[in-house]
Amino acid sequence: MPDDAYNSRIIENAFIDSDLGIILINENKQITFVNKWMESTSLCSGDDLLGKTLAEAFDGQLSPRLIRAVDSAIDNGRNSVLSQKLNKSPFPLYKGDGERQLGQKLQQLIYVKTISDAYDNNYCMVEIFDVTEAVRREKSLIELGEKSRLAAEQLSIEEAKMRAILNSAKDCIITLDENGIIQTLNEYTETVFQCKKEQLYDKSMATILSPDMPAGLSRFTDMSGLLEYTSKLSEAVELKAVRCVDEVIDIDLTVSRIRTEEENSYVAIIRDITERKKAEARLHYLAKYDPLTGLANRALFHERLEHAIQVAKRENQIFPVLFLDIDRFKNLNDTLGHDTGDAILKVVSRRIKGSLREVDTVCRMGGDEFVIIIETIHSVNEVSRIAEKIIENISKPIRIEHNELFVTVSIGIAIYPDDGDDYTAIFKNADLAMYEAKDEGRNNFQFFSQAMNERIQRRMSMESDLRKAIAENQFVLYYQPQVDINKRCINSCEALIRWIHPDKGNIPPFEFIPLAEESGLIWDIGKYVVEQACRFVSEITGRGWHDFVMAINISPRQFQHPDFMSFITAACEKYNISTANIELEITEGLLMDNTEHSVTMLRRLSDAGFKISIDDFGTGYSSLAYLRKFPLDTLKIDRSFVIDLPENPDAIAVSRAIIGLAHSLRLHVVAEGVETQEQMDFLSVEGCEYIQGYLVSKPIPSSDFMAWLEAYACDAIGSE
Amino acid sequence: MDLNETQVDFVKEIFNTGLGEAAVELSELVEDEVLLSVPQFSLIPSEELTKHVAVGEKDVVTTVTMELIGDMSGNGMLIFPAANSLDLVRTIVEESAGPENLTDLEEEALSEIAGIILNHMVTTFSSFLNINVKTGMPRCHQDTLRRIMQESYFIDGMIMFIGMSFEVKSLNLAGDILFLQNVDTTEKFLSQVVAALEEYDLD
Repeated sequence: MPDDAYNSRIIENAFIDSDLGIILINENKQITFVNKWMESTSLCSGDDLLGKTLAEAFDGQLSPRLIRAVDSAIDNGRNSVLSQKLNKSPFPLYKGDGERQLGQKLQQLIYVKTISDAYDNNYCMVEIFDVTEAVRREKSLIELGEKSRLAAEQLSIEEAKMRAILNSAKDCIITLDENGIIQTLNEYTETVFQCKKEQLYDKSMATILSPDMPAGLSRFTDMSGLLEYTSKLSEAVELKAVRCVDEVIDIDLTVSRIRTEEENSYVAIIRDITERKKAEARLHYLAKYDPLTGLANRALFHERLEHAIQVAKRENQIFPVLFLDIDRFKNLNDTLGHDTGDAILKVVSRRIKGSLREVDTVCRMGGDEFVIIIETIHSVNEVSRIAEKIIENISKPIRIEHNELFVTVSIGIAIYPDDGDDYTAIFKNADLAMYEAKDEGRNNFQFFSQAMNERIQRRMSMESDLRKAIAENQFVLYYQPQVDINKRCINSCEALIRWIHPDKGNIPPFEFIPLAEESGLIWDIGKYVVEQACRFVSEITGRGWHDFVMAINISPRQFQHPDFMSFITAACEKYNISTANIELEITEGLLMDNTEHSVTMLRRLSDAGFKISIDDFGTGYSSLAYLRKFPLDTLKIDRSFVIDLPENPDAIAVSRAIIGLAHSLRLHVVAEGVETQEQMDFLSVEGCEYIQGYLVSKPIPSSDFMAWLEAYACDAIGSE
Repeated sequence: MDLNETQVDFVKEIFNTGLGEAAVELSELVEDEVLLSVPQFSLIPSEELTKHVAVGEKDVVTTVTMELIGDMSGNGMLIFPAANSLDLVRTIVEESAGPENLTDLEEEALSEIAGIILNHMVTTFSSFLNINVKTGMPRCHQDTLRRIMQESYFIDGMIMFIGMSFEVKSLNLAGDILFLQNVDTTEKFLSQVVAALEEYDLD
């Protein structure tokens, strides 16, 4: 067993070799021990320090705090800490000479402890820790902390910027984990989906997508599959999303995959395309439907007809196409205004639809034209019944703003495949049949027929020939003398047009005048006639027959033309002839059609000096009262009565009546188409003043007529 | 044993004196004015501490504990909410930045400050009460209040609870000073207070 002294020595050695600074101070405050560490750092030997007080040993360099702590330990048994931070190197201790020269003291942490001896005397042990390294470490730790704080600050600025960018974006930007759980979202997402961030965080993206997925995406049962698939697409996918308020919207979805070492995640960019889709739908509607009536338009009709043709071809079926046009719609529009016109169109559309089955297609082709495709019929009779039903329904009164209107339609029907086996043919033929219905007096329907087609083809080719004839001046005027029965001389004639067709030869007026009327070409032809006639009159009057009268046929279209009056007066002036040299032949029908206008017009013409005659009198239904109203000069008895004279009692009766009527109204009478001596004799006896016809002469060219005049003119000046 | 109002005032006066002396020393140490005062004193069973401190059981607190040996054995303790202790140390040593928790050196600084305060208080009441108490080394510790209260010296004891306000360099914060003893020691302390007061009255 080692003795106490041995133990004490071991303990003392331990203290001597300790890597702390250790100072022992006795109750008299004298240093009784310093260890090696103290000696080396203070550069004093123990012998210099022992027995001295701390203040003496360190030459008064120690802080009062340290002295007080030591005193307090010895006097009161108090232990103290002197921290490095609050006590700047209390002891003048240095690591080595270099540091001493530089004045770099050791950084110290000091514990001042009370130790009692066996006699209850308080000793004080001062322990000095070199914390230089700890200070250095703390300093770099703080610097590091400061750096990372600055970096974090910078990062948070960057993040704030990024967030600002995200939040100013007008797209929804959502980050998702690999399972499609929403991690973050920008403000616009809240706007589009009409909910708060918190409602969406940690929810699956499936909660904002509509389960109604487009075909390519419906196979994904979970979000991770859908996200992975869409992230590989180069374009956005269109699908439907659901707002928090349960409203479905259209979206474009673009997904990008983000791979980091730690995780896979996705960024979904969602664009609200609801408005665009609406606009597209609207455009699509406008492209296919008529905005006024909501019916299919021409484009959609085309599609439907092509489709119907394909189906019928495959199924070996027939189907009709009905072309429908409102009768005299232009008049309605002009007189009642476009608003009423539109209202009528709407009613008619409704009535057409109401007359058909749901599967049938009704299209508005523009204006007042409608086309109907009837799906699957079994007989032509069925088509007739449908057309009748449409006509009947439409003809019911239409009430528009307290007005009761009556509208009729004409319908042309073409049946696939007999009347055309492609779009163009069937559509054109239904259209032709519709024109036929118009010709048949409107308010009816007509089936297309081959004869109709041929007639129409002829008419169309004639119309084009007619245009060419006008352009190439293929017309000539012939003149048929009118003979004064009593004086047996000539003082007037009727100008008659001849069309010398380069291939078909001489075409009579009754073959082309009605077409010219219909097509409006009559105006140009009429102008030519008037010009030529006036020029010829000027030739005649130039020869001295000043009272000569030229009868010119005026068609209703010409007569109603707003420029007619000015044109014909200008023609007279141009050829320097008197208006009294011109007699305008109009038909009874003209008087019937538009009385008010006709009266005014005839009055003006008559006042200007023109003579007026009624052509083909007796064939129409002239009211006698009208005859009195109009300023007429001559009635011309129609050739159909003259031809049966003098045998046919009816013809006799009519002729007598006309002559009697004319005389009582103080009008001249001309009999047309006189071919025999008997006819002329009869007319002469009855008091008819003039005759015209083959008995005297057929219509002849101007040069021949001039020869006639020279031979038979009533006024003999010309022959002088 | 309860103290009457006069006796409580006397105890507060003792502690105020101790704090006053600690303030003088601290002011000298930090070269700035330090004001310390006792706004409140109470005697409570140790398990009721949570009712008296301004932090919850799960909050982290910083404590500096110093063992008392002699006529009144037990532990003296300064207790701050963690943030307050950080503020206090950094204000005093004039460090503007640092890690979120006290560094070792900062803990030593806080130990020194708390040591000065506790030592002066022990010295003052030892002297007033004419008793002999030695102190151990102040030790700094950070943990949740709940864990601190699980330390052995907390169990089944009494606490002399002294609320303290600490003003330095425009910083004003509250901390609490606790003296934790067993019931006997507490009784002894109180008897000493009563006796001392009687002695003073006699004087």
